[in-house]
Amino acid sequence: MKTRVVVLDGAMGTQLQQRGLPAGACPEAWCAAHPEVLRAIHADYISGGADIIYTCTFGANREKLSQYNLTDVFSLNKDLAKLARAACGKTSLVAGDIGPTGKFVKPFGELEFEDAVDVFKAQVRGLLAGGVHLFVIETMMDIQEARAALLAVKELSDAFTIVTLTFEKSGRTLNGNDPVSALITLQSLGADAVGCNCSTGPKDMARIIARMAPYAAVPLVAKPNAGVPKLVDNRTVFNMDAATFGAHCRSLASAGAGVMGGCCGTTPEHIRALKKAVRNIKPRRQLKQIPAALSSARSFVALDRKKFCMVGEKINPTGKKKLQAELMSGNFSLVRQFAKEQEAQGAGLLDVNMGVPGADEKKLLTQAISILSIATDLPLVIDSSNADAVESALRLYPGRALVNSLSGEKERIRVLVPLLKKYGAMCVLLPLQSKKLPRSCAERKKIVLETVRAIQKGGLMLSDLVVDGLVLTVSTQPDSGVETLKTIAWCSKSLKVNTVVGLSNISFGLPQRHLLNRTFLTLAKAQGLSLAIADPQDALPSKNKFAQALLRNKDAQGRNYIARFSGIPAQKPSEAVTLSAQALVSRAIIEGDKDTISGLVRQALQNGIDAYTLMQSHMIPAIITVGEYFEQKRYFLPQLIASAEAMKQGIDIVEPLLAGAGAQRSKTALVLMATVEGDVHDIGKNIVTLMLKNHGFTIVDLGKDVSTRKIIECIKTHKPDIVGLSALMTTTMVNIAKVVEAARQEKLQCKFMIGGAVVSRHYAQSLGVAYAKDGVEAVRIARDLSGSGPTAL
Amino acid sequence: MQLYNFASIPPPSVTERIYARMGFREGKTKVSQEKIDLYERYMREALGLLELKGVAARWPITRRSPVRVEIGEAAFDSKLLASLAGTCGELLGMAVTAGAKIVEAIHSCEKNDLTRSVVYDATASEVVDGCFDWIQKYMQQTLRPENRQLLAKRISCGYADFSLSNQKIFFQLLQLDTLGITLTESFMLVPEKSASAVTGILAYEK
Repeated sequence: MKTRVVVLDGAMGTQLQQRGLPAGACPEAWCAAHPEVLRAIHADYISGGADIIYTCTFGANREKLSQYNLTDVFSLNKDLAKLARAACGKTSLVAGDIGPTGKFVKPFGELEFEDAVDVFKAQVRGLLAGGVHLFVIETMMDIQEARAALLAVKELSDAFTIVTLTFEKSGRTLNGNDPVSALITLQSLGADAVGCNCSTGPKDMARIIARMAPYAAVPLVAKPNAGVPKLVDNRTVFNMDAATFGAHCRSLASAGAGVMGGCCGTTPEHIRALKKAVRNIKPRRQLKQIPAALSSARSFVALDRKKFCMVGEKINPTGKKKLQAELMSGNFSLVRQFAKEQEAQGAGLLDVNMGVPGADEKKLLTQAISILSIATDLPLVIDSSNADAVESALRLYPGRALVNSLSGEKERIRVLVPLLKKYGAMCVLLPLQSKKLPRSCAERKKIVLETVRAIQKGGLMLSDLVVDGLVLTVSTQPDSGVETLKTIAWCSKSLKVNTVVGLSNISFGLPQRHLLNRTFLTLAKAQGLSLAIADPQDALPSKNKFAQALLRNKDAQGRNYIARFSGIPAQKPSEAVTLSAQALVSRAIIEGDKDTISGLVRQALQNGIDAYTLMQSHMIPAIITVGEYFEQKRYFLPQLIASAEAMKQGIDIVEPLLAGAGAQRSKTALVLMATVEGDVHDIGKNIVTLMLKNHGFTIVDLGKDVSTRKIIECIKTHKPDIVGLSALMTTTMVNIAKVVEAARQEKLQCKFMIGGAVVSRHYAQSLGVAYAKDGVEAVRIARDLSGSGPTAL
Repeated sequence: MQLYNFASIPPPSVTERIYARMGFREGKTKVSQEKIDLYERYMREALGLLELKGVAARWPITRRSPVRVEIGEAAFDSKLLASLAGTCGELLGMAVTAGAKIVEAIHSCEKNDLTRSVVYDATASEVVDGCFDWIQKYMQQTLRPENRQLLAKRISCGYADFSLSNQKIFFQLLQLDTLGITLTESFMLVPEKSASAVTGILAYEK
């Protein structure tokens, strides 16, 4: 592989279909029954120049075979492997082909991860018995299934193993895995070559290979289709001829592929053209060691001493009673929410700690890993001192994780290093060897060097480590900031290893902690800090001179800092003092400011404006403006609702004062609102109700799924001016007609206004009632129907 | 009949579709960054509450006419489906649910925080729709080795002449009760943020 491009074979399925495989037949079983066909295909590919041929066992796993009521996985794999071995002669090698199960593996699917490993192990055993030289795991669309298959091979054999995923034209697998993350995950887990096959032609595949190349410590593999499949007269056609295919494969080699073959639509001719095209190309060299990089299923972070990355710290129940209670009850909503929040705030990695007192940490950690693997794209930091929990998490995690942490204690090294090696994880190295904390940089250096030597004996590389700078609070140890900065500088510049700090420790017991944290982070980044485990909001740079002096141990006992920042009042937003209170009320409604409206309304009333004027001259014009903005599309629904909610809060204060103030209040129109029988969707009805209330209508809201009979009874009881009915589904829309009809039969004098997702203006016209497409139109229609206006209050 | 169960569908990226659903119009709608941050926080909260599950099944077409498509003992009376699946050998039935938590949250916010409720609702609806795209892509990939193709279009119960009462067939054949879904007498799927759809699989061509 170092001196020339290795050539793989081409499509098997296409060849089988051309040579008689009937529709709906199991390809593997058919081949076993027609060995001469398979022999001929293998022979054709070998004569075309294939250095490696694949066994015809792509779907020979328990899950796929069961669809054909076949159960003998071992024999079928063994027999088909033997057939390939017999065909390959002495010039070619046989790769045992492992394809997907057709099921998604947990956490992305229902197939338990260990069940998936077992499914693949059964196949691997058969292939080994058949004498395969190496393995190829191919056409994987889910990194987790690829991991399960790779672990199955590696736990049974030391054979060279190729893993290829299938990336769509978008550059991702169907499950959203991107090529670089997949490469980082698989090469650290022990894949000997990684790449892609199927889905695209050589041109698009070259782009995928080019993305992988800068991170590859293993040969890259490309097995493209013969172009992009097209549907011609309902037939799938691959129309790239062999010569064109070969020519494109040269660009694949230039992009970094050192192992190449063909997938769907390719023939022995395509392989011959490929062989000819790449014969004088020397494969691109890979990296000498696996780079310091972490991955999730869908993204990666390359660690760099010149490029800082924040590790979100919030997914940690320590001191968080609500999170603890949720976790104890098996609820992970807050975990998901913290992940999303921190991602939005700029975290590049997420620390996950599930150390809840009295809980099963192993169970919680694996559950959290499963949930977060779906909920966030960010790679995870597995934060636990429980080796069992760490192993379970590493086995399940569909990426390359950072384990937090490994100390210099011999027992910890003995237990953790083999796990880290097996699962290809990186780890945080904590410079601790006993319970005594090393205070000086010199002490920390000594422990780091001793630990690194011990870890390297276990097979880990320096690039697998991230050294913890060991942050202690400056409130009790004034020199701790300086010693940590020195440690970071030494690790980054001399040892050339990545570093991390637990940032918030620095400010413990001091005021204005965020300021101190941010300033320390700024100083540490200048020394080459790679990671900080912190609140992502602490990533904002700060060069505050008081904080810097304290952190550099140039402020004795922190006197100046504490004097400057103790009891500092929270910054108040600048207020537009020039606006009157009533103008601010109007603005709060237009801007949908629910937080301030009540205070502003009270302030306006205290300032002497009467309730009636406030309502008529400021609040109602404001909500009318909002309606206009909505109709002009200047506002969209959440803004309309927020304004309506702010208005409602204002009305709640003003309304009781209207009668008391002696204002003449005209009779308000009464609207009866209901979502009709059988329909539980009522959010639209609730929006209309809120809008109508804000415009002075009196509402009787009957809720959702209300029977025709009940609506009619309520019309008789309340004698509304208008009845507003909504329905979301076609099956429930007919119940609107039933209500209208029943009301007419009873000769009830009320007008109807209807709406809802499936209700149309045409339908309303057919019933002889009014239609409103949204809340703003409902107000207008209600005013027209009742003869009242927004000044009705 | 093989069921393809998707125990945990990755949430599709549908932020733009959520905005569009709520009436946002590029170039017209003016929203402050503060509000955008707030709405996107609500969206993240909603995403945290979603438990996206799905199921699909291939249904061989046993008889067809211009107004009816039969799949074994079940039949869909729909000109639209008959036209869509005109050259197809099979149908692909699908269902997706966002789970009960998001629906509970939508309702619990309705009284005192309708804005949040509206954003949750739009997020759940668009994510569920996006999950159908995901299932179709998955099935497309699965069908490729068989030299079969999936139609890009799909139709949902209640759309045009494809009656909502067909939910009953989906409910039974896709075993939707195993996803925690129930069917009301008016053929609605509960939890509310659950939906079903059907598309066609073109016949095998050698």
